[in-house]
Amino acid sequence: MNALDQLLADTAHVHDLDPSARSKSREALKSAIDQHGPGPRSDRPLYRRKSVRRRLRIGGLVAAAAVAAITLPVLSVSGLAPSEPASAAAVLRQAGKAAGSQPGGWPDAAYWHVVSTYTRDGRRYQRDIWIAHHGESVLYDRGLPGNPGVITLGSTGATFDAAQAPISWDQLYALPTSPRQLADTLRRTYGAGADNTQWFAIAADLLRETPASPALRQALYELAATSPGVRVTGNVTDSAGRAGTAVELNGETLVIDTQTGQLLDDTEGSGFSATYLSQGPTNTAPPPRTR
Amino acid sequence: MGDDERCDDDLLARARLEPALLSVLYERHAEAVYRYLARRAGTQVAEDLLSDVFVAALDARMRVVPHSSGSALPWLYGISRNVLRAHFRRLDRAQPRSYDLAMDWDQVDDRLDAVAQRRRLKAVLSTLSRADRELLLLVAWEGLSPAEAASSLGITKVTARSRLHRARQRAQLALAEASPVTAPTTTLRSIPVPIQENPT
Repeated sequence: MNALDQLLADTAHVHDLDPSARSKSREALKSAIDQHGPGPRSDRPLYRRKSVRRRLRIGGLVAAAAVAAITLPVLSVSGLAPSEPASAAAVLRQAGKAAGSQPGGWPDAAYWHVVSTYTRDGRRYQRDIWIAHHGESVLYDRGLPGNPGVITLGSTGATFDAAQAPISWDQLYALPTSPRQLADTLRRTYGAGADNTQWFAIAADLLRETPASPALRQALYELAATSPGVRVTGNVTDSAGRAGTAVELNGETLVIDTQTGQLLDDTEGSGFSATYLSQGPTNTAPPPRTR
Repeated sequence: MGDDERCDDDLLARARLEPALLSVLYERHAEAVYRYLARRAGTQVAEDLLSDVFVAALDARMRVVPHSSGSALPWLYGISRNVLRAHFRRLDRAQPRSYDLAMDWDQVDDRLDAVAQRRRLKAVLSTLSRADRELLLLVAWEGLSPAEAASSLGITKVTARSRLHRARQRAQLALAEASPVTAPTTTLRSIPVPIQENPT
């Protein structure tokens, strides 16, 4: 063993974990688990509405959904008056920092799995979508007319909405993660315009239901923070019982967990609203079948 | 099959809907996570932060893709790194100390008996960037493969291999310069520069 390896081996030693410290930590974990409760439940009846404006581009096929009258989800809003624009920017930057410090980055995952709920006709539906890096995406949405069960969408890997153009998973990972360079690239290559008002909506498009890396998420929040006129509309508890801060521009409201940078819910001016219960990478998707 | 017998990635997949399975991961990996923390910040801090790591893992379990080796440790070490960084950041505001958001040098000094060893380790580690240091130590201290270390750091295997190679070269050079002379007549110039090693 050479001198470096010897030095590293010699300096690796630490004493065993003290048994009472081990028990104490075990108990702390147990009580956190108890408070956590179960994960998303697929038996809960929840709806998802698809807006006309926003579609998931999957190999050219638009994910089909009936557009019907929408009821807004119930958000209990604490009695905050809409605040000064400066603090909306601060909220977004804080969310960006939090998002940027999450572990992860999933350039190679096979699917991005999103579990969400949406409302239609006063009922909530749950939607599971496995957004494919390559090949077919998979959708399970009980709110689809005829309730077709698990269906596949497209054939060539999903694309997301970047400003005025579609962007693939790999292209998403090729985006610069410094805010200024990101803005330049979105303008040069993806049709973003000259003014700053658009960043809020563009960021929302790339923060919801995409495998954007923590660094990209931070940059997107930073860009959103430069949009003039964004307001904090309150601290809210969403339909899944999670606490977040609501920020709004031009009728689009994002509910953000500023501790983690997660986008919890969003509501568009048209009334479309979604609650994101979980998003994450996975290497498998369920096979298509009828239920 | 009992939960105790399932491999890590099976547990992690199930843990999405059954968070109680994090306890099984705890029993399996508490010691390793504790050692990771203790090597960098001392035993007291390691004991204090141990449950924080697993509670953070509870929150992050929806987004994990375990390494293809099946072990949850690369992921857990990544979480540990973040927990440690947050801990040092909080302390940093209270009083400036000799650590750098990733390692408490005073604690490292404390656990090494030989003064010479402390000096040499510090010489070796301070010649590397924080990321390269972490890469080197995940392999040397925690025993991860370069591929697992890459996964823990969120970099590709190819990047990890070449950075590890360069880090080891720099480390060996620094070690040679910091090593004590073995005889009164030996001068620095006569200490051989280490030859290139195969990448590990």
